[in-house]
Amino acid sequence: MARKSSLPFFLGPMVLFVFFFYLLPVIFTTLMSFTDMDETFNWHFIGLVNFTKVIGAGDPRIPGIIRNTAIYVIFALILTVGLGLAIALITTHMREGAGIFFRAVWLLPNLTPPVVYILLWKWFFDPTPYGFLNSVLRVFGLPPEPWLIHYALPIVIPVNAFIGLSFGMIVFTAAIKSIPTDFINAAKVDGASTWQIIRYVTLPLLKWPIMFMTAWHLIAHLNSYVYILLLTDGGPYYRSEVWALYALHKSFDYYEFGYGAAIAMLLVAVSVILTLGIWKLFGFTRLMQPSRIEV
Amino acid sequence: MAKLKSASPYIVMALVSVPFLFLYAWLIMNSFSKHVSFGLIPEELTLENWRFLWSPIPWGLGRTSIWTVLLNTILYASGVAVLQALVCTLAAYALSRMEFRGRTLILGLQMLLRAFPGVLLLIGTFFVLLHLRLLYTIPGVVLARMSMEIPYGVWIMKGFFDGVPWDIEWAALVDGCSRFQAWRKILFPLVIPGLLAIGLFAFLAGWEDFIFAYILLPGQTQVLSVLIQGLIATEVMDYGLLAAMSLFYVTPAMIFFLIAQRALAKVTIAGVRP
Repeated sequence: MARKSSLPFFLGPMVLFVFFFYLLPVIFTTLMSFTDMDETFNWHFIGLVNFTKVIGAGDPRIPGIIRNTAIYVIFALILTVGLGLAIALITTHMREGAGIFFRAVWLLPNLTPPVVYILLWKWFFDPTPYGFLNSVLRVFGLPPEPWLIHYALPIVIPVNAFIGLSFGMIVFTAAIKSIPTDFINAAKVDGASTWQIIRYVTLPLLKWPIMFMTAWHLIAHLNSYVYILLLTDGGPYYRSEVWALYALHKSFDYYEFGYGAAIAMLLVAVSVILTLGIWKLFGFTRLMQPSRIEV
Repeated sequence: MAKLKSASPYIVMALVSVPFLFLYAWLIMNSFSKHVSFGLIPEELTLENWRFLWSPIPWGLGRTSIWTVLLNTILYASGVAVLQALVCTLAAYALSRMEFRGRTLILGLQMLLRAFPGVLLLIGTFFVLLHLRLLYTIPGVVLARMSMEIPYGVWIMKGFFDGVPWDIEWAALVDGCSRFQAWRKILFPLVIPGLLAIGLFAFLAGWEDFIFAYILLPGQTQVLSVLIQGLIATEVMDYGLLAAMSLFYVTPAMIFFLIAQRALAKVTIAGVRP
């Protein structure tokens, strides 16, 4: 009886906020994607025109952006999971203190606010002779290079991947440390080398975290745009523009809210399908354990 | 050979980590010097880069001082922290301890919400705030940013409540507490460390946030992140000034992170498992 009256008190605020800032935005964006809304904010429904424009050949930029997004997601995923795993493996094979130090260094990108992290790379790739890479080139007598113009996409990928890498590194390190030492010792007694232990003992035991991290970062990279916005803003000439960033640009730079919403909706569709697939893969019910007893 | 083999992990890690350390060392060096050659060697030490602390700078901070921007940033971050910690603690208790219809639905929804891309929510939220007449205001951006942290906070806090033995609450109920009293007097004090931890991380999220402030609270004199981004986007980049200002902006965040880390670590050690 008491619990019935107190439930709204406990759950109410969350439901309210989730409704206003999650569900309502989703509903609004869904509806907007069927309109040609611009900065006048008129609800003028035009059916599926926005979607056919994307899927049909209505927008000449779409093929290039799909290509960028695919390249970006695939290579960023390889870098995040691969390098994250490599760093976790290497740092767990050195003295404790040194391992902690190197992991702390690779945690820095994650701890640095986006604007500052990007400022560091802006300086690193600065097109003037004062940028770091160009000052190195100067030593060899080479002219300065406008890195962010010539290599926008290849630069954006690692700079972004380093962010996700920290997360993978922590998860993999925890997983490696939780492997019972008996397994490692048994392999050592049998005469296995470090490489063999990693290949035949550690890696098979890391199958689960590796799969989880791959799935997690697949969605994360697909939806990432903030660091690209800050570093190149999708430029030069859309050469590092990815799908999510294009939705943002269409909405807030060109005020094509309807079209921007449609682009974002397609991203949601892909993300939701992938997420549901991942749930199926990992077992949704395992995450939903109910409370133990009920008064 | 054997020596080289045992040293190889150190060599590899040192080689790949050096560029990072370099970047951060540059940030500190450059903020105190006129010029930096090769990223590390400062020439002519000066405090001129820190002039933004006492005088307005021509672009970006034309009229307002950095302290107004700092105050806005603090308001934004602490608004996010306090609201999120409060809302999540309340909801997590219900989700951990109460049985009601739609419980699994809500938990599942929290997971599904994560799948919605930030960009979609941003477009929609822009519109919600426009209708609530909160667009381009600090309360508006606080509410929007805070809500993004709810799914994560609820899941973490639910873990804390799950860790408190049922017997404790039961004893309170037997002694005549109502459900609410048991929560306020018995459970709430037990999860305060968790509350502090998610609060601190929410504060960091608000402090470091760029994209919400950029879209929902534009204007360079609003929060630090957008101010720095605005200065980066100008034609002439004053790296000395930018480095100093970035340091000014990063240092509190790093300190807060260390405190939050410690708060969270303490919890896992002291956490009681039934």
